[in-house]
Amino acid sequence: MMNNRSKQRSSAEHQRRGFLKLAGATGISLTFLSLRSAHAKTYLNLEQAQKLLLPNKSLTPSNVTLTDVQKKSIQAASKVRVRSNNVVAWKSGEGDWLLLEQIIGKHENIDMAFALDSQGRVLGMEVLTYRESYGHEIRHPKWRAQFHGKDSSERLKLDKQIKNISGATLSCRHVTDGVNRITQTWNLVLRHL
Amino acid sequence: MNVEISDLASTLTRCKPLLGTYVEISVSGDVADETLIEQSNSAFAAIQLVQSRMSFHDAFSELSVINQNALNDWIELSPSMFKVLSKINQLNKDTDGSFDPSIAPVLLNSGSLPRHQSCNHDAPIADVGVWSNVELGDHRVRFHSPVVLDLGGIAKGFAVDQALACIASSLVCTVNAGGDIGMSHWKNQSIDILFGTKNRRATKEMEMRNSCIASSASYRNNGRSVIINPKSAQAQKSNNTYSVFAPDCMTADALTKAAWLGAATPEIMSKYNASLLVIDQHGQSLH
Repeated sequence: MMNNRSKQRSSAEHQRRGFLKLAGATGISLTFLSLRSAHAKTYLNLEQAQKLLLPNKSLTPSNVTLTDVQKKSIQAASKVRVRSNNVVAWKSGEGDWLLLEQIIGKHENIDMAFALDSQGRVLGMEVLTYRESYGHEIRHPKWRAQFHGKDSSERLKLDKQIKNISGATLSCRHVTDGVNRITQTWNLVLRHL
Repeated sequence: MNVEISDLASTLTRCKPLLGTYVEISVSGDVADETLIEQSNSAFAAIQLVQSRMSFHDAFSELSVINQNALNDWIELSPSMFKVLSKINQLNKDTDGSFDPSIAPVLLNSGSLPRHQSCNHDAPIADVGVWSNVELGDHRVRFHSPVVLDLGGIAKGFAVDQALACIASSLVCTVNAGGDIGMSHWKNQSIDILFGTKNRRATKEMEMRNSCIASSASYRNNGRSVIINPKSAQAQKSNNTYSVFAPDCMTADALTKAAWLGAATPEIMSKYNASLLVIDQHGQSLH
């Protein structure tokens, strides 16, 4: 999430089409699964992620629909389940790709943007939206009401601002699956386009 | 340093998978967007560097080179590795051996750490809690017996410190590496501490007491503890969340393990200018 407070900017600042002002300006709609979450954070929109991952590159929407054969080949090569036939992608004139992927773990559901160069190497990645379910507390209102109920229920809403949570580390091992799936998607399909 | 961030300030918050978890960096200031991007890029690069040096999972990290080659031979250390091993040396003495990173054999045997090729030693469980056989010289280290170190109990905190150190003092920055948090401007700031058990978790809001906080709990591991008592070579179980506030995140991170093992005495916490917060699975503060 960008806390740009843009309304308070000077008019000169308003004229500057700044990176941070891109928040909410993108017209791209995401039709990903919405997981009921205890905790969600939005960091970047697609346009911002594009600018961070592939700066100064002109990107053209290049979505791909995988055939069932391609889907099975990617699954076999990456050893990772391919949930959707639709690859949400953009391509630069130089052959770079920007791909949108959803990383689904046991307790987390994360939208990520990955940049690949023209040789299929991963140039970088950014988390766009992060959603985490803490567990059964969502379905047990009595349990969550037993202690600091108001505060707890507030936390169960989508966070309006980025809140820092200290706790035991959440593993990012599912990202590795996403990277494997993407590199095999490039290798088997995108490189030939 | 007291930095006033005006209403015109911009904030950039980014998140990347690093250090085996998700690392979030937030930078604010009355500066051009490009400056925020450059500053956050530097901070992420600093974390990437710590990962490349201290990861057990990377067969070619500096740590893996040490684990493989330091038995009876001096290994030269990077300034960062020397700083972390020096801190461990101090903490090991102060906690009477409770903070000891030579617990990797237990984690290797349980499958929590990988037996990659460059780590081809097959250290028996008996070689746990043997930091006394690690000799630290001036930017070099050697082992006097088979030792396998895992820096999982301290490196994440160090990475937070390194990232914060990259940020210009005119900016406001928060780094959150999977729950280990450092803030350039922490006064009057609050954080949420996650507590509970595997299936039932909630958060408790707390005021920051220092610039950094780290927490340890077992709810991420299906109740299985990955905090190993170096004296018994056993995983020590607890349903509590142990949080430590400290002036630097490396100290906070390491002291949560000492606290988990019951070794964070008031004297030790005072020496490190740290404070301990223990929250039980029901959200009650025990300390």
